[in-house]
Amino acid sequence: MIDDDWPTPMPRRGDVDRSGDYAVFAASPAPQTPGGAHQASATGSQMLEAPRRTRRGTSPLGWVGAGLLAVWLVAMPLTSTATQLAQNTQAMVMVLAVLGVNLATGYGGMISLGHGVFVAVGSFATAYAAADMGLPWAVSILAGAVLAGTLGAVVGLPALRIKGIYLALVTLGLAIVFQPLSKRFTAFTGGVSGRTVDAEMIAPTWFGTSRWSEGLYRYLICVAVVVMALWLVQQLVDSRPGRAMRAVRDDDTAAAVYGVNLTTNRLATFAASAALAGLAGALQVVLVPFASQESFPPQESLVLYATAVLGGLGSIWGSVLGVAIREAAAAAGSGLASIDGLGAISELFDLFDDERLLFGAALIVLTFVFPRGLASAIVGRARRRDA
Amino acid sequence: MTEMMLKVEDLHARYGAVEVLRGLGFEVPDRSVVVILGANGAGKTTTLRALCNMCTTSGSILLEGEDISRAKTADIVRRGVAHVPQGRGTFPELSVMDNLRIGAYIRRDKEVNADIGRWFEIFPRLEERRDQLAGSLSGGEQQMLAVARALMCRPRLLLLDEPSLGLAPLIIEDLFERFIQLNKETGLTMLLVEQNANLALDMADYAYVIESGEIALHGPADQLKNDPAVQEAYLGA
Repeated sequence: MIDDDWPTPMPRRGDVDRSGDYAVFAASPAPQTPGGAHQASATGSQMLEAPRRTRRGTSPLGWVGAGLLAVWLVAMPLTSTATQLAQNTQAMVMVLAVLGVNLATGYGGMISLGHGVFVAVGSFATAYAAADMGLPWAVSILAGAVLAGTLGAVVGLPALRIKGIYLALVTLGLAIVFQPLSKRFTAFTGGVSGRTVDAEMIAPTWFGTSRWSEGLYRYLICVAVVVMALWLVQQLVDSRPGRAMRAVRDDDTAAAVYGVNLTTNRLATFAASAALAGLAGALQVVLVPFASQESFPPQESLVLYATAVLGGLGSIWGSVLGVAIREAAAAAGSGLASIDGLGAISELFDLFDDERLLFGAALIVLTFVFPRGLASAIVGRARRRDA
Repeated sequence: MTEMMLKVEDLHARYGAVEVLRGLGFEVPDRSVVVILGANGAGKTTTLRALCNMCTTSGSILLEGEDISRAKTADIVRRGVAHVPQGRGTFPELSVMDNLRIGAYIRRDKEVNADIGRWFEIFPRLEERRDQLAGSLSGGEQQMLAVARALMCRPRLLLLDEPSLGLAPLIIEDLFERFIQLNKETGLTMLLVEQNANLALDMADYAYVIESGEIALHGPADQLKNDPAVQEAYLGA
C-alpha cells in the first residue's frame, strides 16, 4: 500500500491544460513539474541500481589479436609452400560460412544446423558455372552465392513459423538429406565420388607463373572477399534493416508491433546468411579444383555452428576468432602428434593426430569458460544480460 | 461533447475455446487518461491486445470514428496507437538508442533524433544509459524505455499494460508522475490497465472496472475511488 508517509506525495491531478500538442511541446524546453514531482524523481533514482556498464571499444587483448591476425595474414603466404598456402586459404574462407551462421543465429535469432548444405551448393554451382558452362570466375562465384542464397530463402520458410530447437531440427534434417540427394544429381555434383573442376583461375602473367604465385594471387582475392564480406555484414547489422533483424531476434512480437515485417525480415536474413556460406563454397572451388559430397556430411554443418558459437554469436570478429581457434587447435594437435622419442608420452600425443580432438576439447572447455563466446572476452562487447 | 479517441462496443475476444472478453464496451475521450481496473484474469491484457488485433476478436473498435477491428497490427501502429506490452518487452540485447530507433521504425522523416532528445528530457536516466544494452537496465528504467520507445512512433493513443508490475513503489510513483506530465504537456491520450488502483485512479480521468470479461462498474476516477465496492476490492480499504 502506498500511504501518506511517502516523503513526496504525488500531487493531485488538477485541471489539465489540454492545449498542448507535439508542436507546442517541442517549443517548450525541459518540462518540469514543480516541487514534489521533481523531488520524487530524485528519490526514485536512488532506488535504481548503480549503472552497469556495457564495455565497448577494443580491449588491449583485442589489439593483440588484431596484431596477430595482421602478422598471420602477411607471414602465412610467405612461409607456406604452394600446397600449404591453398590449404590455409581454404581454412580462411570458412570465415564466410561461419559468418553466415552468425548472421542467421547471432543476429537473426534463427538457429541453423544446416549451413554446410549452402557451402556445398555454392561449391557445386560455381564448379558447374565455371567448368561446365565456361563462365568467367567472377560470374561463377557470384552464381554460387546467389544460388545458395535463393535456396536459403526457401529453407528459411520454416523459420517463419518455428523457432529455437525446432528450427534447429529442421535445418539439421536438411543437412542429413543433402548427402544422399547430392549423390543422385551426378551431372551437378559428380555423384558419389565427386567432380573435378576443369577450370583454373589464372593469375595475370606479371604476377608470376609459379604454383606459389598462382596460390598467392588466389589468396589475395580471397582475403579481399573475406574482408569485404566482414565489412558489409558489419554495415548491414548496424543499418536500419539490421536493427530490425536484431529486434526480431530479441522479441519478434514487439518488433512486429513497431511495424517490422517479420516475413521479409526473416527470409532476407536467412538468404543473406546462406549466400555467405555459398560464397565460402564458391571460393573453395577456386582454391582446390574438386568438389564432392563427401566434404559435406551433416557433421560439417554442426562444426560450422559450433565454430560460430565458440567465437561469439552477434559479433563479427567472433566468426574470425572461431575459425582461428579451430585452425589453431588442428595445428597444435598435429604438432603434438608429430613429437617422437618420448616413449609413452609420444604415444599419448598420437591421440591428437585426429585434428578434431583438440577442437572438441576446446569446445567443451571454452563453452564453460566463455559461454558467450570468445569475442565477448576479447573484443569486449559484453552481451551478457544481468538478469 | 468531447471528441472520442476510441470507442469500443460489444468487444469479444477468445483464445481457442476460451472466451476472455464478453461484450466489453468503453470509451476513451481525446486527450484523456482512462484506466481499466481488474483482477488477474479479468481480461485487462486481452483488452489491449484485442485493440491491436493481436488476438481473435469480434465487435467494433472505432479509432477516431474509423473501424480498426480488422486492421493489421502494424497498420494500427501507423494510425497512431502505441502499445507498451506487459513485462515491458524491450529488446534486451539492443542498446537504448537502438530500442528507441526501432520505435520509430515506420517513420521516414528526419525528426527521429529530435524526438529521441525530447523523450530524453522526460526520461533523463535513459540518456545516461543511451549506449547500454536495454537488458542491463533496472526494471524501472526498462519500463521508461518501453514507454519512450512507444512514444517514438508519435502515437495519439498510448496503451499501457500494467506499467507498475514488478516495480518498487517509489519507482512506480515516479513513473506515473511522468505519465501525467506527458498527458499534460502533449495532450497524449492514454488507456491504462492496472491492478494498482490507487495510483491509477489518481492519474485517470475516468475508470472502468472489469470482471470476467465484462464491465462491472464505471465512472469518473474520483467517484470510483470513493466507491465502497472499489475500495474493498482494489484499494484494500
